[in-house]
Amino acid sequence: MTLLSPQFLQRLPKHRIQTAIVAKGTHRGERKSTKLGTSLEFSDYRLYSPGDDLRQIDWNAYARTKRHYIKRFMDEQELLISIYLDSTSSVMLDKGKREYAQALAVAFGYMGLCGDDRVCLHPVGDKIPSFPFRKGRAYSTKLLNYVTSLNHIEERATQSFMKDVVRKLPKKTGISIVISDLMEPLDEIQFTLKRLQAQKQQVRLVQVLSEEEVNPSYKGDLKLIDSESSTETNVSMSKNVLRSYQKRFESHQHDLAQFCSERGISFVTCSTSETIDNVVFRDFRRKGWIL
Amino acid sequence: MGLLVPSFLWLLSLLAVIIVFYLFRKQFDKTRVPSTFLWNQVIEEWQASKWWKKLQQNLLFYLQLLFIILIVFALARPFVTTDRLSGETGAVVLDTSATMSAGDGETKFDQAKKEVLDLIDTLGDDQSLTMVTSGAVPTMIFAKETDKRKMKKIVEELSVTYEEENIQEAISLALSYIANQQGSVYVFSDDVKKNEVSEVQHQVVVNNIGGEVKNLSLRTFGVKNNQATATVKNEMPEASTVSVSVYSEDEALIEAKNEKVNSGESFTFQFDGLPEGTYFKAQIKNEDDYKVDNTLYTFSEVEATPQVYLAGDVSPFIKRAITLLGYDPVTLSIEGDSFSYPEREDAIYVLNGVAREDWPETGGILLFSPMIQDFNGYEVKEKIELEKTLMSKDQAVLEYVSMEDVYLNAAYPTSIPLEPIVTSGDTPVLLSGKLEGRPMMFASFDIEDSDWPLHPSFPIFIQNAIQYVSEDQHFLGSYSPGQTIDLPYSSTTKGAVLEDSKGSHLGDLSTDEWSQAAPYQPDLYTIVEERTDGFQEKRFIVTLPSNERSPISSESFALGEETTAVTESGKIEWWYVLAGLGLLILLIEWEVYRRGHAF
Repeated sequence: MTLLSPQFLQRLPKHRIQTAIVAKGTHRGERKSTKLGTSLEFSDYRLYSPGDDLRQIDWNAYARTKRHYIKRFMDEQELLISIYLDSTSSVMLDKGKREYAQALAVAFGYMGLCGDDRVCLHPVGDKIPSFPFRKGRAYSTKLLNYVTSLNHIEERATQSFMKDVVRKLPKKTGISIVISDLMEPLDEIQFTLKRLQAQKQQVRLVQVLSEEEVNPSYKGDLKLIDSESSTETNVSMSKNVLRSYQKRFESHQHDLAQFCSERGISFVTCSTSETIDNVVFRDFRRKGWIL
Repeated sequence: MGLLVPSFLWLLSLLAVIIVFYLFRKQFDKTRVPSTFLWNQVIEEWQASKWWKKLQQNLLFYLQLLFIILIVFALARPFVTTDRLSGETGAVVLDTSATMSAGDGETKFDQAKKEVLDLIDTLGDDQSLTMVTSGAVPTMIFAKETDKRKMKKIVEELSVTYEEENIQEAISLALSYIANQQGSVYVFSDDVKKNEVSEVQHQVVVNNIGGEVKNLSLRTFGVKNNQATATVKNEMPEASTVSVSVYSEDEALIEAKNEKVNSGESFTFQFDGLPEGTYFKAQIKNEDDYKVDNTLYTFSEVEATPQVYLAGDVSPFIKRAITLLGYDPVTLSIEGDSFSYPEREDAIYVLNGVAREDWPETGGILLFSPMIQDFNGYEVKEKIELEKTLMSKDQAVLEYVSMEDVYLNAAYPTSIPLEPIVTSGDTPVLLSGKLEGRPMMFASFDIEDSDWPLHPSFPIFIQNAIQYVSEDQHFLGSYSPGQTIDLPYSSTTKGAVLEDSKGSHLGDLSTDEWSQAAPYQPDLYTIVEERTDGFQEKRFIVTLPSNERSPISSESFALGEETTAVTESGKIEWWYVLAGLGLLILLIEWEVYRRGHAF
């Protein structure tokens, strides 16, 4: 496993994915639920009314007050985490970018599984079936292996990432973590993110960019071939052209950030030049994504 | 089928340009990138920017318009008229005399050449030009030439010949080429006066080139009895201290003298106590604008032409012929029982009926009517009647002499060890060669027995014979530039080379030719002759003609009416300039188009 260092993996279980939403699962988990349940955590007392479970009457309280109180406990439920990993050619082409994105996906999944959350991973754009919702630390190694298996050189679906995400919308409330380079038309991104939000998802958007995309250092006359659509674009590199590219890039980033802030989507951009540790334990923490 | 202007096929070389264009066309290196999403936006933005797009589209449009205009105008064959040369043709007379080499820095001749080149440049396409140089003999350089490049090339190669100019003859020669046409004569010289050309019917434009020339001229230089005299004339506008040096034959300075000479005056320097030497050189050391007349060479005492002595009863025909040839023969008297021969090595003796024992000790001998005698291995027998006609060998001495027409009655058969060059049957009549190391011409007959003296070839033979027997002459004399020099080669000469005073090799001389044109550059020349028995040097001097020693310039002027009646001024077509520009535009257009699609 070269994606993540052992030190990093050891640090991961100490953190948990934070979320503002309250879990509404059917299975027991480790997260507080709005429902009262069977956890050990005491919630409050309530006067007994006929029909209540007799076993829940607090006899100590009856002894003190001569009234029947029912002792209620907090319910603890699991959190559903859907990870959407961009596995289209645009991410897979560049090794650094690919590994970066996969490492982030593993980090999230690992943290989720170790935190007793239910985690699924969708390699969007790849023909390999998704990693279905699984819970429990036992699956963390499987997840690692699964992600490693994504490094094949077979043909990938040419559908754009965002359009594919729409097909795999989660059915229950939870967190959706979208890991992509977001090099797509803004309206497509917006449409997909809106659909995710409509599915009661708290969307967390992670943009992974290679250094060449942030600060291109191309020279000469190049025929740029799109890795997904294979369309060709002839560009004579010059200072002006590069400057123009950077303007476009900044504008694209700005539009994305603006849209995310309007829709309450948490958005983090990371370049492959940064270390994974920094991004996960500093940037994500600062954003309040993990604890 | 044929091509009218095949020279334009060189334009096919444009194919190479096109191929080069193709090879170096903009090539895009294929690069796979994750996404061209942003790049597409960049390119769209680039193309959408208004000024660029407009410029690009309009640039193509304007270039196309320009191209069409240029091509249309080129096809209309535009021309410009030149006013310098009027008429259908022109003639240039270029002075190549020595004074044209004068000048401070740029010589007058170079200036004249430049002006001629300018004139050629302004020549119309239909106008022809004739060029004549005015040496001692006017020379036609080219006649009615229209190829400018050819003309320029020829003019560039012309050089000063140091001869005396003969402008009038040169103009007549030039006129003979343009006689029936309209045109003017352009004279480029330095000192042509109006009266020299006033009789010419055509228009004459005289360009007297050059201004004042500062010159110190070495006029004369002579050596006699170890004394030398050198006359210097100061042609500078102010008085000048003239420094004259005398050198010996090995270029060693013997003496130098300074003297202040007033403007326009001459001064004669005296040098006494000169060492023995065969020739001397005098040189003005001052800097002036005319270098050619600063150096003179002279031979010491030795006369350039050999002295001819007559001994015995020499026929009046022979005497007459020798006198006619410009020699001054001396008839020797008998002292005692022999002749009083002078003690000169370069003497030539014409003997008639002189016995072997009375022959001179040294010098060349031309002998007629040998005495009947037997002498040390060879003999001269009694005269016999000849029956066969004379047969001559192909010898240089018999050049222009036809012996076949000559009647000879009788001859003395002889066994003298010389080469028979004219024979009658087996009887040698005329023999030549070397006898005891000196040249000899042996005529074994009495001149009275022949009608030869009545033939025009007789004086020629005498001249040839004198040249032949005087072959050991070391000094050939002084010549004007280009003058013909007679070179009496020995029969043993294998080859000859010409060297100048610095010893540099100027070329091989043909030993078959007994006359040679002297070099043009004034100097002392040496002919090194290679003979079977060693080398022999002969020297001669080339000096400036006397009236080429003062480089004077006159005013330029034009004479005669310009032939304006049916003036057909020169036309120079320049459609090819437009066509060339059009081609350039086409290439630019192509490049713009190509670039336009790169973005």
